[in-house]
Parts: sequence; structure tokens; C-alpha cells
Amino acid sequence: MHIRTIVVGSLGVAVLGGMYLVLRSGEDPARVIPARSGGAGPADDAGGLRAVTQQVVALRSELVRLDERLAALPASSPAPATADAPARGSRAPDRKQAALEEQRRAVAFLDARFASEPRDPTAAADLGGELASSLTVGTGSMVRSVACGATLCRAETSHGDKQELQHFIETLSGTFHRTFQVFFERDGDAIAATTFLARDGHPMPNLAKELPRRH
Amino acid sequence: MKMIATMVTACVAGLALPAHAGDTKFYPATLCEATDGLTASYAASGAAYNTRTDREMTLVCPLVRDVERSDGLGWSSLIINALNLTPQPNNRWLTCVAQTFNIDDYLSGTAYSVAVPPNTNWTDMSFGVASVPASGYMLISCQVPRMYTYPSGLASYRIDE
Repeated sequence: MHIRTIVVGSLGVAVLGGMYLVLRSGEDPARVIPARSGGAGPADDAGGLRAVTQQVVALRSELVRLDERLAALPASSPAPATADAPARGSRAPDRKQAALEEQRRAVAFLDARFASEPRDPTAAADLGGELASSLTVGTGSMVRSVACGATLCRAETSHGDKQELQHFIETLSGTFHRTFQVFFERDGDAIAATTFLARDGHPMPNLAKELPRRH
Repeated sequence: MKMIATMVTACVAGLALPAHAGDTKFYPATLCEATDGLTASYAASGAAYNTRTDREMTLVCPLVRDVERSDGLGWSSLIINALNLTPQPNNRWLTCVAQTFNIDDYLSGTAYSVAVPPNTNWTDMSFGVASVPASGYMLISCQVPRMYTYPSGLASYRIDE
């Protein structure tokens, strides 16, 4: 719909410009545009008019083509999501769902990357101990699973509330000195967190570049 | 006539160009504030330092979110320029966490942590892309090591939504 508005607006401007030129073409060119020595003459005026006319025709064709595309879309079809398009006009619940889906998509991507790496049980055991020390005892927070690959480690933790999760993140950040990313969401009465940590000497995967765009 | 035709063409072309999601916004670290009742030291250059010699300092830096992307992501790039002047053998790192929050219940979002070891130069800390819920917001929180000879701190940060 936004594209159609732009095209219609563009067409309107082009048509007005074309009408202006058509009206002016009947007058003395020397009165329309002050003649400059060696400047534009009637032949150039005719060329410009032809160019504008061609643009108007092209824009009309484009409008027809877009109308056909719009008509072919289902009435309830949502606007295609693109990384560069702001979500103006979409509803808040939709945007919340989109963010959750994007979060889960990032986790799935990192999971797939992690799954392709050979396991390092020693590193996983060390990390498991460190993570456990980052949790406050008796709050319902717990380490559910820890595994390490060649470049990434992955941990699943559960937290009783947001404060416990925040404590976990701050402790992890302040003591481990690693690059890591935590994804969290509600899990019943608790908060489930999936953490990916880059192993020493390895960067975190660059999701901005590597995560395939949605279509 | 040529000029008019060119103007019309430019006008049409301009209207037909796709809109960009956002631009890169640069912030001085003077926007960052210390927590726990502490006060950061601000330089005329815009940097914020921890000049306390007895404790670390947490600086919280605001991020203005002025685009709600349809893909649910918070940014394309987020970079903090930081300085950790902790001398050896003190192994104190400067760490920053960029978090996204959902204002409905604060129960979904992401946190991305980056750490800088002791060094002598300003360093760009780059954060990976993160999703941010609808009606959510973003925040940077940095733990800056205490001062030994020279203070550590943040110079600026920039975000491209």
C-alpha cells in the first residue's frame, strides 16, 4: 500500500509536470525560458517533452503492474518483513511476536552452528561449575544443561524471576570476560535462558551478517 | 526546458526511492550515568571515567530507539568505544552488556556481553545483533575498572538501527 502511494504521488507529479510542459510548449520558447546564447532551443524543448511523456507512460504501466500485484495478494496477507523496513502501522502484538520469532530464529541458527562442532566435555565441565557459581542458591535458578564445542559453548538455565536472571547476566559478564549472548523468555512461572559463549580466541557468530534474512 | 524535465525526473525519482530504516546515531559517553550512588567523571571530550580508586563503577547509557523494525531486531550495529587502562598485573576487565527489554513484563529479550582486557588504546566493542520486543527498549550497562594510575572509561557509543 505504501508503494502504491509513492507511485501514485510520483505519477501525479509527473503528470502535472507534463501538463505544464504541454501548456508551455504552445508559447514562444523565448518567453518561457529566457534564451541564452548557445542555450536550449525548440528542438531541446521537444526532446524534454518526449522524455517526460515517456516517463508518464512508464509510471502508468508500473501503477497497473502494482495494482495487479495488490489484487493478487490475499486480503489478510501481512506486509512482508524486511530487515530494512520499519514496522510503522503494524500492531504491537504482531511486533512482539515478530521479536520473539526473531529471537528463536537466532537461537536456532546458533544451535545449528553449535551442533556442527565437535564436543569438548572438559570445557563443558569447567563451564558448568562456573555457571553454577553465578546462580544464587535457593532462588529456583538452576543450570539445566551445558555443552561446549570447538568455538562455542551453550548453556540452558532457568531463573525464578527477572532479578535472578539479571544477577546471572551481570555475574557472568563481570567474571567470565567472554563474549556471550543470552536469549530469554517466559517459561511458565520461570524464565528460561539460553546462553551462547564464545570460547577463548573465537568470536561470536555475527548474526547481523550470517543469519539468513526472512523472506 | 531541459532543466524543467530534469527537475520533474528528479522529483519522481526521489519519491520512488525506498525509505531507509535509520541512520547511525553517535552519542558521547556523557550520557552515561553511574549507579549505586556513585558519580562518574566527565571529560570535556565527552568521555566518562571511573576515577574511583577503591571500586568498580557501573555506567548505564541510554539508547534512543526511534525505529521499530518489522523484523523485530534492535539494531544492525552497536559499538561502544572504551578504554581499559588497568595496569598489569591487575587483571581487571571492562565489560559491557547491551540488553533489550520488553516493557510489558520484562520476561523476554536478550543480553549481549563484550569484555575488553587491560590495554592502552581506545577499543571498539562491537555487539551482535539482538532482537527487541515490541514496545521494548534497549540499554547499555558497563562495568568500568577502578583507577590505578590513569582512569578507565567510555568515550562514545553509536548505534545503527
